[in-house]
Amino acid sequence: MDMPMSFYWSNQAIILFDGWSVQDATGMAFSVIGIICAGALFEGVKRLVGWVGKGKGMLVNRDTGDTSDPEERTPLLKSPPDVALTRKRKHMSHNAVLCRSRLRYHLAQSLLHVLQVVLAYCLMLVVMTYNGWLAIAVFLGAGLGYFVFFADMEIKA
Amino acid sequence: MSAPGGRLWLVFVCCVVAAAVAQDHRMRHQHGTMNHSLDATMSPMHTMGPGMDHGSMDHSNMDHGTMDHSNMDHGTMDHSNMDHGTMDHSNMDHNSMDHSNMNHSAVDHSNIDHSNMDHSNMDHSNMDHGSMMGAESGSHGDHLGMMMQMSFYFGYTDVVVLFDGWVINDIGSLVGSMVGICIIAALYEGLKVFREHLLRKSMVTVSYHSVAVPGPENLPVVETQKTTGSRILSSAPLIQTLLHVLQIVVSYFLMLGVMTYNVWLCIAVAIGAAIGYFLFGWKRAIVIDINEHCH
Repeated sequence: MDMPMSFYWSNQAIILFDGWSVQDATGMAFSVIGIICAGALFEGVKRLVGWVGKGKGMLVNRDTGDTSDPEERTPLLKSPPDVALTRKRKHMSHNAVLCRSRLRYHLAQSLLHVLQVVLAYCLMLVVMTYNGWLAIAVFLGAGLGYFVFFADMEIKA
Repeated sequence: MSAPGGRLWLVFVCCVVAAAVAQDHRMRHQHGTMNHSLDATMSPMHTMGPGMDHGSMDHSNMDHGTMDHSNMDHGTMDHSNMDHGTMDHSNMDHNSMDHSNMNHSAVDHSNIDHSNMDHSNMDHSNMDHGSMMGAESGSHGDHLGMMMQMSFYFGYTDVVVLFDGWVINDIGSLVGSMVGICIIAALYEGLKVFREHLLRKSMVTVSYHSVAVPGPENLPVVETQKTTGSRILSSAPLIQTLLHVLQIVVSYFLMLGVMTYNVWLCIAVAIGAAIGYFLFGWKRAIVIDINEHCH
């Protein structure tokens, strides 16, 4: 199969799989919408990875006694550090609990990271079809996702 | 000869001739029932005798214009033994034939045998293909240039970078493209640093902003959460989004530049990233340090 080596503008493209073959304008429109959603989802996953990673880092801070303001913590991640804190006060084997909690965060982060990498490669392959519309869809999806998921980043960062 | 007598004679002759002709037809074509309705009442009256001599009859002035052949029945004629072997068709004129309404829709070509056709003497030397303009003429014309290169290679001929218009054909264009890609890669690094810088700057202005607004209430506590709404309405997230899209676009273009598998272009991307990081990363280390303190 000949692969185009420069950008072209056409309604015809084969995207990622042989089964995802676009032949007409409506198919291209739906593909563009789908790819915009995938691009936005990618940005969301990226944000989620950072979020989970921050929760994991917060556990480390608790362990070392580097207390940070609880108000700044996100609601989703509030309970595990508190659990760890109470266990610590009871002089239980808090290190093991902490380890398990951190492991949980680390596992979630790893899975999300895999999802992020897979999505990133798929989007890259979509751009590599050299179809102008699909490339623009990827860019728009990135913009949309960033605007939605990273709009409050200045505060939370 | 008086006129009525002559007329009667003429009618008699007609009768005789008609009978003779009828006999002749019966012999040749086996006509079943001929009815030459001249005058039905006259034919039985003029039965011919066996010794009559008809050798000097003059039939030159006979008028057959009023004969009525309308009821002739040719249904039992037998044409089975006709011999057409000596017909001469050499002077036929077919020039004015009209074939415009012919209907060939039911023609069956399924059993045509083309296996013995001889094409060896066809002359294709004068064919002119110069004006053919197919939609995929490009892929026909230059297969080497359009095939996806799947491994790294050195070379500077027929390298298409991103767009049809950006083609590297000689060393000059190769060097120009390398310099351009270097600059783009360096600016990409700069863009990343600039975004972080903007992020940090917006955080600082936000804290100022949140102090300034509750000033009249004399509240010294800085609560950034309260100003979230007003900050989203500001242009900072929009600018960040636009810069993010720009960064994505540039990064994908750099990726596609590497994906040409041309070693020179890959080196250009790497050198550009190095230059960019060297120039802008200076500041970036400080930014990261500040961010670390913020955490």
